[in-house]
Amino acid sequence: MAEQAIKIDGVTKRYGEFVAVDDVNLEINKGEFFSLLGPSGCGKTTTLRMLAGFEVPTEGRILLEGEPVEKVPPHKRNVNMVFQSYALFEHLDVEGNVAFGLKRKKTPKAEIQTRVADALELVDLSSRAKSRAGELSGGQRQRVALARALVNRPQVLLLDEPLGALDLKLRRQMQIELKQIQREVGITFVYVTHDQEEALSMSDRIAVMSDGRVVQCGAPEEIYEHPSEEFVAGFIGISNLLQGKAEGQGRVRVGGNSLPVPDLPSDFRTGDPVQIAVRPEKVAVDEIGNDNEKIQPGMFTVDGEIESMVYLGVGNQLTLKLASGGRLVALEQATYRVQSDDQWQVGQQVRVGWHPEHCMVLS
Amino acid sequence: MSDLRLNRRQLLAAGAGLALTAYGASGCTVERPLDTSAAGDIVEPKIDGDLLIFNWAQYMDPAIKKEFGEKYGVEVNEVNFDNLEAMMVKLRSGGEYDLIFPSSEYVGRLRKEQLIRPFDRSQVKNAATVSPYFDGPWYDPNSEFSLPYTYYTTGIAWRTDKVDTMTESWNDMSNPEAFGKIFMLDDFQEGIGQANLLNGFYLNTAKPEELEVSKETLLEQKKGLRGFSTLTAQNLVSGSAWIQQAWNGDVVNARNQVSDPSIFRYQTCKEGVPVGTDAMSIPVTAKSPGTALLFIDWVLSPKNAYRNVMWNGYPQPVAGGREAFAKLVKDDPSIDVNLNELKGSSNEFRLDTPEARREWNRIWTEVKA
Amino acid sequence: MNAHRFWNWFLAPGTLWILVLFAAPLLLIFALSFGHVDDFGRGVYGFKLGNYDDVFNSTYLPVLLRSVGYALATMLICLAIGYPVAYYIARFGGRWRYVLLAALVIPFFVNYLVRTYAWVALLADEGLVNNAIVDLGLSDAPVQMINTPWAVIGGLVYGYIIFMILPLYGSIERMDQSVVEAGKDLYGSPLQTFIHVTIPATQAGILAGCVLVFLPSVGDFVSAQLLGGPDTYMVGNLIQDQFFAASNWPFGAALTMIMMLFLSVWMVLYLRRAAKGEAEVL
Repeated sequence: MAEQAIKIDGVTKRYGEFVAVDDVNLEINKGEFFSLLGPSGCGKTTTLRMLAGFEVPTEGRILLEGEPVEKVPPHKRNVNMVFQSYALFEHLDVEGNVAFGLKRKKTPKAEIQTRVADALELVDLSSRAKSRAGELSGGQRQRVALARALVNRPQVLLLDEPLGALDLKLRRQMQIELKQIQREVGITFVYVTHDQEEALSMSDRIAVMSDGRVVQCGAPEEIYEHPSEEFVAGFIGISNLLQGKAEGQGRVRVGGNSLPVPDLPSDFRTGDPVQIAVRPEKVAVDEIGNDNEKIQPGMFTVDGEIESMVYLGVGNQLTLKLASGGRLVALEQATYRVQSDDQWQVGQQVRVGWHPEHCMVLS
Repeated sequence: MSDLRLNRRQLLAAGAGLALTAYGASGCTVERPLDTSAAGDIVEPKIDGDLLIFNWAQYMDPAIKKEFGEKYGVEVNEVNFDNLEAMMVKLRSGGEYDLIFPSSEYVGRLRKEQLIRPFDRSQVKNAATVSPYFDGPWYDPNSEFSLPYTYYTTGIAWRTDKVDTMTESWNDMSNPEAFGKIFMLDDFQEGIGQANLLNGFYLNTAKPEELEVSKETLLEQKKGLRGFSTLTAQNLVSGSAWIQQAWNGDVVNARNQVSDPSIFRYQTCKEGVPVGTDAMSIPVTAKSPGTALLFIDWVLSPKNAYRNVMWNGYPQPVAGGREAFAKLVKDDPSIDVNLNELKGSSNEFRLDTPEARREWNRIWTEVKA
Repeated sequence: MNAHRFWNWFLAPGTLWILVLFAAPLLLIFALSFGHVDDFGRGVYGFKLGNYDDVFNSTYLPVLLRSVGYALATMLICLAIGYPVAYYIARFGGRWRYVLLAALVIPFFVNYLVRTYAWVALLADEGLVNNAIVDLGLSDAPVQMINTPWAVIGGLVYGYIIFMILPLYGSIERMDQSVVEAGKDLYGSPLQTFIHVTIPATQAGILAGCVLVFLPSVGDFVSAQLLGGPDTYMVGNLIQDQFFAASNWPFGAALTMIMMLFLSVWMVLYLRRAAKGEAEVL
């Protein structure tokens, strides 16, 4: 069992009648890259701000390496934060920004110099040490914010949507760099984001939050492949949600079809309502009469009609109207296609199939 | 933002512009010279149009203007100035006022500048009751350019509940009993004038050695002063002043503001009593000088003088006005100064040359600085 | 007509306005400052340097120094009072902030002279405040509050503090609050964070407020005239007396020119600073 960096124990935060964070329990391990993921207003930023000390929990405890800190003011907590707006000190140069925390802690001058130099080296900004904050690009400002926090060697680094203000390409690049830096310094990162791809690609573990509660916490694969409820499935990528009734022996009746669902827990009795989901990229589509190109043996199949089609570059997103009623979305990769765009037409009759193992049961 | 910075060429151009203006304007007065050809024509008292009065605000009972308009069938309008310099500027730049109210010193200046017109006093019926003190005053030796509207004396007011060692002398401006509670009028002529009188000099002395002595007197008095102020009534009523150099009319105002006026007394000083006058004159630019002269007569009538004094509290040296003021100050007659007992022009402030004015001003500034 | 020239025409009325109402009077004052007074007491334009000699006469030096001293004290007191007020309104005013700002601004619609008169009545020896002090037994005799240097500075603070609060409010309101949080997060105590983060982040407002309070305070004459004592004569009073009491317009003009030159130096320093600040933001 890994050493614990943070324990959030039954923390609730209320603003008057409004409950921002509702009985959150989380344990974050040392050295972990932990993400809080959810839409805006879900309570993830409030949780982070309670870790930083900017907000005091209404109820519950926060332990930092075993020490209760929920009432300790921010300047006495050994955690640092990278702000969404970076919050750089415009009146100081890059060095001054990075040295700010060390100076407040009365670190010896010589040590400040070496540590600041090291931190700037780490974020590849040694050449801009004397620049004013206002002269830097967005990506550079982000790195200064990171160096300014990391230089203090905090027990935990808190990051509040730190890449939100960057353009897509820079964001991708910074994701990789951040992850690298985290591995290098070995500090626990708590990362707040609403971008599910970002969370999936960087995190060791993710806590998905909704309406102030943690709805699921686990490794990225687990969250993606086995969402515990409709909200998680919906938030992490588009999912095809199907309502059905349990039939027993691992089968669920949806409309006129009886679907094999091997994952169906045994405590579902016949007639119980079941919600299942199939990810669009798991759905294979073939022409009728030529249905072994993508549909593989062992797949469950059903017939339908192409209702609409969206070209995505890396593939096509097809909306299918099933003969038995209901709709499915299929995401077709363009990887193997020789001819690009004339295979499908709206209104075309097609056969649709997926492996029964890809049928996820939501609670 | 860089546009705000002047480059060297622009600075040079601006400097040249300033210099050119100075050159072009040199030798000119601030205002263009007026057409003063009417300055010698004697004004006849006859209705020749509507009347425009140029006066201090709140200085005349509106009923006097209204009834004059009704009687003669003319319109009487009034505009106001804040200070006499402003009045001079308006006149010099051609303002067409029919009647103005300058102080005695400004009558002298207006006359020298030929900005006012003469009239015959004998044609002004009510001028007959004007105090002989105003017959041929220094500022109007032939009594042809002005008639007095109000007058005032300068003395010392004090609070009987705080001070009881007054001596009827300008020495009371440094009365030790009221040390730190004494106000001097914020007026360079009144300030230096009382020091001159105290030292036995001529009120308007321009002798440098005498002024130097008076300056020392003032600096000595200043140590016991609480301030320089012309807000006599306010200083007395609010308790800030125990002793205040004052114009007698302002003491009347102070007494009107309290339930027990007996605590405010006024003394004139044995070393000398400065007298000030606000006069009535007719500018050369007047459109209706005849109406203006009839109006002067109207103002000086006993009935109007009486009600005007009761209305504004300033003494008028004319029948009716005298009686009204005596009534206002009946429990402290010392406020009412008998002009006929004062000796001629030595009691009035007059600085005849710019050099004298400048010297007085320099001394006053050195005292206040 | 190209677009550039088209827009230039729109500048014409404004330029004319400034030339007629600002530049022309300034030029005349400049010309008059070299003039003299004629036998009628009229100002005459000329080429005399004597008025400037008089300005630097040692008599007037204490007046100049006093004015600058009062204005500096006023500026610092306005800053000390204005900053917490502006900070409170900007940060904690919430939906009341505009009501609070209006409550601060509205008294300034009343003429400054009238407001200062009110202080005289309030703080006089037998005014409301002193009567209360005596009635409550806090002192046997009235405390002399007006006619002192502190009363003059108090009057200036009261008269001009809004020019401090408004720019401060603007810069505090615009300040990114997360910068302050960053300061605290980086181990700054509340005081350290205020000194090292909040003040530098709002320095544009501080600078603007200081200039806007200092400039009119140096030239003020109302406060010293109504609230002052025997030793509170300021440059504003001196200039006013030259024009309206001593009839020495040329000397008044010379004093005005020197004052303007002195204040322009401050103004230019401020504008250069502001220009630099703006360049950094862009």
